[in-house]
Amino acid sequence: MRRRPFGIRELVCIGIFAALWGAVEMSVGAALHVASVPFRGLMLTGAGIAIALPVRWFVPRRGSVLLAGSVTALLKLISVGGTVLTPAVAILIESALAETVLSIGRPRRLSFAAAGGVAALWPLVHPFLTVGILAGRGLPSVYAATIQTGARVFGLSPAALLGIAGVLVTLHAGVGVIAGLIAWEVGRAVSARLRQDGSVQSA
Amino acid sequence: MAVCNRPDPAIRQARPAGWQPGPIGHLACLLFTVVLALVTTGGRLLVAAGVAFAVMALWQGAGLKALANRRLGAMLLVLVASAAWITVARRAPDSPAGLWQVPAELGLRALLLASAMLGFSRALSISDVSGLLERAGLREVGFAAGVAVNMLPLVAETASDAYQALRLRGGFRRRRLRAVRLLLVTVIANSLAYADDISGAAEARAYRPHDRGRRPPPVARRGDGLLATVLSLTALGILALGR
Repeated sequence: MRRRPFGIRELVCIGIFAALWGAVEMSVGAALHVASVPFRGLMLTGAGIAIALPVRWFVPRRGSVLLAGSVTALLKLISVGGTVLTPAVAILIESALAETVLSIGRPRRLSFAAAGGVAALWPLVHPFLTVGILAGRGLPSVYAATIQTGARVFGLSPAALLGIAGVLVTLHAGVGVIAGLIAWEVGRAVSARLRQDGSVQSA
Repeated sequence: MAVCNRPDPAIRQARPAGWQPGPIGHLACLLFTVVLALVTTGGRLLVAAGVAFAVMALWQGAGLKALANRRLGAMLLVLVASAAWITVARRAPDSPAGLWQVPAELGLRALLLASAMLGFSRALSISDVSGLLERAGLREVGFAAGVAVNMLPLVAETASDAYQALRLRGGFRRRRLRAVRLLLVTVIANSLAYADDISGAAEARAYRPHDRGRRPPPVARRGDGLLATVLSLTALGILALGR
């Protein structure tokens, strides 16, 4: 069955949300990259989820989050900064993961939280794809670097592999769930405010 | 909702008299600056910056506004300072010039890229950007990307204003998560307020992204090919300098 194409108003809303996500990626992302802050991918994903998932409130159709992510990835590709290709790929995959979860049933608070949690797990996997496979350094070296970073940040022994992996997965999923819940609340609040103003029809 | 002093993103600034490039020409200007900023170093980077700013002054004047942007200046300062600190920490410089070369080049590159991006996004309208992507077969992405590219400076300004207003009222001293939520709501609501204007402008021009019989808007203007050729040859000339 052919998908009904997005209307002009829906595409405008998607473009605005993509601009919001893109603005965060270009400004905060560039600053975090320069400062080499640990877990910067997770921070940016959390911010992106909180900003982009509310698009589902205003364009309540399958594909809206993925399209917003695709446009954000395009913006990232033409942005300032040395590394733009791999973050663009990450944005695309995160939005696809969030879209997949949101497409299961009717979007509600729980599905927003789950979509955020699943999408935020990607920054943990991302180095395995980009550094390990694409850059050819091999998966074991990425695995070792991830464990060492986790051990250093959380003050754990590098030998406690399962513990570090568990903490990392919990941290990523937790940040994503919180971002998803914020996205739900923000979508609801913006929708209520715009209904009050009578300016934009929402879901 | 009565909004009087809101700039309409669909309305472009009056273009200067004389020949102006089309979307392909502007894309060539952007690629020229980006490629030279990324691949040149030392004296060649200085020459490239001079030529790139001259090209911007001719056809993408908005890009030069980045030079006067205080926020970008502060960000560049942090970038240069952190690069200088890393340079000092990692090796003993042979001379003061050796110490400052890497940070200065980094700052100049960032300034060039920011100016090129700003100039490109301000020079093209929504239909120009969507036309470029529609020609590549990406109809929905094309229109949404056109909106996003044009909204980007406006969204950044809205976010900055909302953040400053919230901060000056002490919004981030307590209950920071609530302040972040309030900031997001304000920024998204203010940005979405433009949705009516943009979709109204597109509908008024009978824009239908899914009309299969519709031809995408033209992306090349007479002279764009010549401009792209001249810029490519100039780039090759700069790259060959001093070899």
